[in-house]
Amino acid sequence: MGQLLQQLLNGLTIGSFYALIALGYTMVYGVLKLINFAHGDLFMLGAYLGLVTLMGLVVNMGLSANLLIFLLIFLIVMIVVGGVGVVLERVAYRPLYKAGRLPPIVSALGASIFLQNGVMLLYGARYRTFPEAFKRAIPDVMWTFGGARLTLMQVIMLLISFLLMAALYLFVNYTRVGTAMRAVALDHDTARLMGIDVNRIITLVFIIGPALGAAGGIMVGLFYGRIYFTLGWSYGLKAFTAAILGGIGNIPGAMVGGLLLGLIEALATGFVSDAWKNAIAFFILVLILILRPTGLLGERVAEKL
Amino acid sequence: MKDFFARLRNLDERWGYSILAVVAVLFPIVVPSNRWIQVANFFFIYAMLGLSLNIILGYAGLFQLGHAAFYAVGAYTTAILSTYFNVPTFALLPISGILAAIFAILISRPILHLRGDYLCIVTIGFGEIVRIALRNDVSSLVFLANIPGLAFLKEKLGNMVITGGPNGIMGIARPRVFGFVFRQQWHYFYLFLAFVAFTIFAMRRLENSRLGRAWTCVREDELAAEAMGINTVQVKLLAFALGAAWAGVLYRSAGRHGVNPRGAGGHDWHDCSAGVAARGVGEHPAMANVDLWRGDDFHDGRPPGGIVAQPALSSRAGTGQGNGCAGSMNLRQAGVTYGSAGSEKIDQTLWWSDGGGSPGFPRRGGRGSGHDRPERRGQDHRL
Repeated sequence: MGQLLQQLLNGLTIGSFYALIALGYTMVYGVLKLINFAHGDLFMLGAYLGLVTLMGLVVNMGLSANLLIFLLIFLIVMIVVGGVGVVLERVAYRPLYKAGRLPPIVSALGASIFLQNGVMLLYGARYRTFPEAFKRAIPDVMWTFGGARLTLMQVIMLLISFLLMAALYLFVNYTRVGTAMRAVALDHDTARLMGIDVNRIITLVFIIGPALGAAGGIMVGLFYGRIYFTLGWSYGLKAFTAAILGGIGNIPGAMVGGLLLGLIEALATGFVSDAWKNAIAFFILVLILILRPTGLLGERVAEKL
Repeated sequence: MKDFFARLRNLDERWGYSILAVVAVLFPIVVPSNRWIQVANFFFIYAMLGLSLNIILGYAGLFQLGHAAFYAVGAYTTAILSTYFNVPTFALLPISGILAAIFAILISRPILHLRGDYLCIVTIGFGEIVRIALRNDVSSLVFLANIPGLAFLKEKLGNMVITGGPNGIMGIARPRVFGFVFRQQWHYFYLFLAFVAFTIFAMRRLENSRLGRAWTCVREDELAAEAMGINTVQVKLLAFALGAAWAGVLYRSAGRHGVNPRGAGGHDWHDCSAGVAARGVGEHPAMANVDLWRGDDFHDGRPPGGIVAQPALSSRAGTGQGNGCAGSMNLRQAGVTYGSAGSEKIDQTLWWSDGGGSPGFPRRGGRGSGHDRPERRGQDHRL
């Protein structure tokens, strides 16, 4: 019982990371029908920039590492990575929209490799660790109930990710810009006729998605204490899976899919075998898609591919 | 440059093939450097891999990115039969091809009804499952012994080695025909040349066959194809089976002496899909340019798959990071950048480039409406 509860808590934590990253995939897909394979690497870039700003602010400038500093770092990194996302869209995708659907995807693969190599050249190919000092900034409080442990770190991570997700949900559903975003996702031409600047919405999507991914990156870095330049591939694939699981293009779907994938993975690790957890996760994905071909929350689309 | 390509495209095909054939046959004689012959060999391998993926992705328009799984099934069939049962190498070609095809049919049948990106992630998922299974080997299944009644598995599985885990299987016998053993790079060069030539010939025949036309039809409009009496399920399954068989045969014909889960199940699909994309989906004659770029990198004696897919494993298993990664990145980047640069050449053959409407609803700008198609291309963004 204790182990089950523990795995559920762990799964929720990992799942919230997946959900944050999956949002980026799903938003870009919703608006552009483009699988942004570089998104995982923007997430990885977020993790590295988080480490670098932490080092800069705390070690070089001598600020004490407290919660406020962490939030500041989140803000800085999210803005920077959002900027990178916009540049990426301008340089790598926008010139190719006219060419059909495959070229931007291939370009995204190229961008992914570019980002990976860039980070590798800048920060080296070895694992980078978050110094223990940063972890100590968050008090090592821990609650035990029913045989499961919940750390303050986990609580903060969960809080941040759920706040971000809730904010995004409210933004998309209840603001003018959010409505415009949904309109663009439905139909570019009609949205344009309604006076919506489609390119601006696309830019906005490429700010929000990578920014959320970057937040996930910092959290993964803080949580596991160890980052590496191919982080984006493993997490990106998982998050993409989560987005598909929930029905790609659907924002609540990505959240549900991410949490579900995290739970599946944690349960598989705890009760079956760590070595097979990814295989099990993918197997369940395949099963779900066989039963529901457009994901859990995806609508049945009438059009052909 | 553009002019050059245009003229090249307009050249009579027979001329083009003749020139290519002469250049290819003379290559090892004119360039007697082992390094360049090896580069050419990689070029052939990727050309064949790309051609095999092209059957599924190009002709039939099925967005599948788990090609490495089929390749892996063929490769491991070969390795296991060769090392455990001493089956002669050339006899393994059809066996591994058939097994890969059977595997492809088994896994693709339940997922055929998935569309576009959903099919894509499911095939990636199968690729990952295969890779993980190969890397974990049978012995990692001991957790099954925890299930009541299966405790006897503990001794049976505990020390069992079939796929060799991350190390793979080494020591596949060299190919041998009538006492002639393939040893030198140039031996393999001519072997591969023959395979590539045969593949291109077969693809051309296939493309214009009844089946090939059925594939094109399914790709362009599945509903219409069905209305024309094409059994779409069967046709799609055949695409999977043939693509997989070709990929499965390929590994053995690639003349490698060992397999490992990185090469056989990793993200080779990056490369092949980039190759297909750059050449223009659904067109085939040797995806020369890209594949030449891609082949231009190797580390002595290391199987190219190993170079390509290194990061996939290192991120997961926490094994060595730097080793080989830079090489692999350049390798892939070359292919991929070329892909995007050449994208203006990817023309009407893209199977998803139509207006996105379903047939019968011309209002939505589908193919039926027939107005300004080039303008509409690329605006297929609706949900």
